[in-house]
Amino acid sequence: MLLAMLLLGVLSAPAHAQRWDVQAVGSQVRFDNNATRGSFSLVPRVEYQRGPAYASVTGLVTAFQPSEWAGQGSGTGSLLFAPAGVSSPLRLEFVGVASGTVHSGGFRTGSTRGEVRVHLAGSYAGAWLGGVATTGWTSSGGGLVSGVGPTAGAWGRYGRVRGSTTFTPLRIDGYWFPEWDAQVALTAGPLDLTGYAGWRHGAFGSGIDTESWGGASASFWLNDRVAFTVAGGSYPAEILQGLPSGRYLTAGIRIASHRPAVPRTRRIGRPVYEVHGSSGRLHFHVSHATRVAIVGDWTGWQPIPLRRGPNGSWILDVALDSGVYRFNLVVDGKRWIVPEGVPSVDNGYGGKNGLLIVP
Amino acid sequence: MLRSLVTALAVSTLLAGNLTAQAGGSPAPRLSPETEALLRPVLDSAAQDSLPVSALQSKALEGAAKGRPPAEILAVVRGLAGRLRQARSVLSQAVPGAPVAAGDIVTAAEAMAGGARPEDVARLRKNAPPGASLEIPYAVLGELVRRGVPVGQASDVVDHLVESKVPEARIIEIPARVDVAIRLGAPPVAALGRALHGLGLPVPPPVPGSKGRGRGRGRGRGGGRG
Repeated sequence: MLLAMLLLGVLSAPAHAQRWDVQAVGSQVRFDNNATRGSFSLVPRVEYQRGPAYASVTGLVTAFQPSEWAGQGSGTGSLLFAPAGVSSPLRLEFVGVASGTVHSGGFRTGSTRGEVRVHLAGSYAGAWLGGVATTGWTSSGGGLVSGVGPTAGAWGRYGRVRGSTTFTPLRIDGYWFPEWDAQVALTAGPLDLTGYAGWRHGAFGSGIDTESWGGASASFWLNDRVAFTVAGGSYPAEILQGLPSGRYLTAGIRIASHRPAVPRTRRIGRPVYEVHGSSGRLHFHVSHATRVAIVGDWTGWQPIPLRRGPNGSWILDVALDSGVYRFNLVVDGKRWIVPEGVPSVDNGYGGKNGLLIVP
Repeated sequence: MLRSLVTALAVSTLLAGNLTAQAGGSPAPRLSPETEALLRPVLDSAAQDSLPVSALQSKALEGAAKGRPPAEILAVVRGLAGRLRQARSVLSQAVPGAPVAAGDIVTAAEAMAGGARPEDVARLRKNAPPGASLEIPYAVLGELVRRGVPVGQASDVVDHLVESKVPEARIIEIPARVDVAIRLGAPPVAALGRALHGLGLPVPPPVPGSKGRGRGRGRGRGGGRG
């Protein structure tokens, strides 16, 4: 589920980004034997992206009533390539996840997961096919348990709603465990809402039951750094690490470097060049941008910042003679953009240059 | 004991967020001494052949700005020099003795790289009014061909518009109009027709037996910005 949303974030994020987040939550959990426990958790998380690489590290420390504690650490890394060029919708992704848990009673678990995915990714939707290999281990014995299988998924977004779904049939110890999950997220003003659901078939004779689960969470952002959070629902057993299923209700506070960005479809319009006396003015419409610069053959390919105008317009006062100019935009650090609908030519370096035609 | 651990796992799974942005750009570097040394023979040769050296220098700066290694920059600039040399030859032979504008050479080379034929480039130059810049018509020709309009028909249209002295400001609207029509489902040729109709531009008369070659060959005098 998280990996599916990861791609959405990677495709939408600029070339270089980082973010941290710490949550303090109180929880009430009812396990599958009807035992109910209260707990308090601290959940730090750091994310980093540079070019095609994305990484995140999440830690977690939980104190349970009356005097137990548990810890968890997990790391995710992803490399996303455009083997047929950035103008092609084809993407190749390698994902690796490693995690481990420890409990004050001495119980430990660990797991790894690797995925290779081939994506067809558009601006509003995408889909992928790939393969998964995963392993799990627990200190209670049984050795290393492994699973392999194909995976397929799709994601999409419309306005401030985005969603994803994944289907992964894993083969573990000779049994198939087909699993489906889906997630939908909505941002409305200060509110971030997330819902999820899943189902997994338990193979006959495996000792693993068929399960379904679902839940929802909400974060209400007081400002760009602080939010109240509530969440509730159910979650499945973790087969490879031998962790059972349960139901939960949590509430807490979240402090972050900044609020998670909503992936938005950026629209970049065709340039308009207007002559003003002996000078000229170049306009672009770029939605959801905080910085826009232009590079081109008339700037010696040095970036020249545009100034923000009204209603998403970005302006450069520049006198250009009649002719054809080659350019790219740099929007919030994402480089070498050619606006949609602009005439373009191959630049020889594996990308495109837009043509600005001044009559 | 084991089950209490699940609380922690559930919390961490549910409360993860998406990555946000901190934009960052870096200033474009100038040419390194190594790159300049590699390019020197190419630029000297281009200057001797009266090619637009500034276009080659710009292509090199573009490569440096985009972080390309010197060897790749050299290969790209060398390739561009070859295309410019071919374009200049086509333009010079079309109207012998007439000066050839740098911009015409560059956009003619781009049009040919996009699929325009040398004879189309030459015909446009022959039929253009004396002294007219063909920088924009060549750019539009290349754009039409890249959009799937058969090169002969694209050439006929642009040639006719130039001969008819249609202002460049109107001609440059054609590719965007073609895009709209293609998005609405029209094949490229029909999309070009709709674009011309929508802009109120003249459509070239059909020439019996012509598939976009030879119409009006040799009628013009050529010229250009020296």
